Amino acid sequence: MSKLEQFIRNNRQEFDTFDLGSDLWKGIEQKLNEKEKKSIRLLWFQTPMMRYAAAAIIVFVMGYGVFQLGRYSAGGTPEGRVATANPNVTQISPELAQAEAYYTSLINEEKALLDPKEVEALGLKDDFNEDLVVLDSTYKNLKKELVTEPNKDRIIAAMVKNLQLRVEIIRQQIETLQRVNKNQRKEPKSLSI
Amino acid sequence: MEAQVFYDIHQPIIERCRLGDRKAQYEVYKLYSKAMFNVAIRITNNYAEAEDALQEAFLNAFQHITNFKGDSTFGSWLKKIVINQALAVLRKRRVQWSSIEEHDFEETNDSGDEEEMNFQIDTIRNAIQLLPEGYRVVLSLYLLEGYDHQEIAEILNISESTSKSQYSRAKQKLMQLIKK
Repeated sequence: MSKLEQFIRNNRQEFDTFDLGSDLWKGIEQKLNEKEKKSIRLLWFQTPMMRYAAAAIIVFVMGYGVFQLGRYSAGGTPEGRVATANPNVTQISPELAQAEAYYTSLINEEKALLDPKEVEALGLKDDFNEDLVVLDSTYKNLKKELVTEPNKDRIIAAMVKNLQLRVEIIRQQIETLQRVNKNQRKEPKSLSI
Repeated sequence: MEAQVFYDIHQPIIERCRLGDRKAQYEVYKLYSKAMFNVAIRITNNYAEAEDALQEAFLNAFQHITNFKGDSTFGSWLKKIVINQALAVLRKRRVQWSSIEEHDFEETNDSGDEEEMNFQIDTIRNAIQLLPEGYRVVLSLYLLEGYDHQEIAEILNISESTSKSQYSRAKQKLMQLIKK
């Protein structure tokens, strides 16, 4: 190694003499924010768009069903007053039974998208499970009330709301994970050299 | 071992960056921006272009931080990105790397004169900036960024022997410039 090379290598630190004229952080931060927003918006449209539409239709049908049920109860039609020794949801409200089946399959589907290890890694597992457990026990209580409570509209509405909330919680969870993981799927071009 | 210690010091911040933590990203920016800016400016030889390259490099690094597997220090991983961004700027200017014939200076053996010289850092740095583009990049990567010829060959997509000959000519040219 020549003397010049030796000299440069020995004084390596002294060669970093340029100072940044302006703070680039603001620009970097702004672009990071923009890209994150974009990718979240993209996920929103990509995945459950069709399911949201389906959910909206079900809710509409449900609302109509509840409305009809209320009228029947008030009008004293036989269907409105069914109260057998062992009543079930189907008898009280076929629409509610449908909604229950729909949301249960939706919840399971969404849950399958969640990797429990990832949830745990983010430290979200406990909160997440707790929320779902609370919602589940509330739902069971509502179901019991449904048999005895004369004002069934209110109970049915609460039950549907309960199911929707669970789907929402799981979706938020998925979104959080996707946000954290989104970069793993993309290989940056600049690193390929 | 030194590299390992260095790596561990910044590990918690890097981990927070993986989760997209803005504050941690700002910490990383503050830690590395000056050194990385100097890397960029040695390649582009242009203040504004170096700033652009640096901004793109940080963005790129934060967005693809999952690609950092920890098999090198974070600094050297980031430096590779900065170099690639700066080179992208240069490629826009269409730098030719190889052709040995295009420079018309005389090849001389400088080692004798070198012994009598007293080197000044500023003089050397200014001389490096006066080198033709291809020479400046190879010499900077080799002497200042610490890559070997095999690595430079990969980075610049040239052959190892081109890197060696380019470097040796760059060094001679640098000596001439320093003597002026």
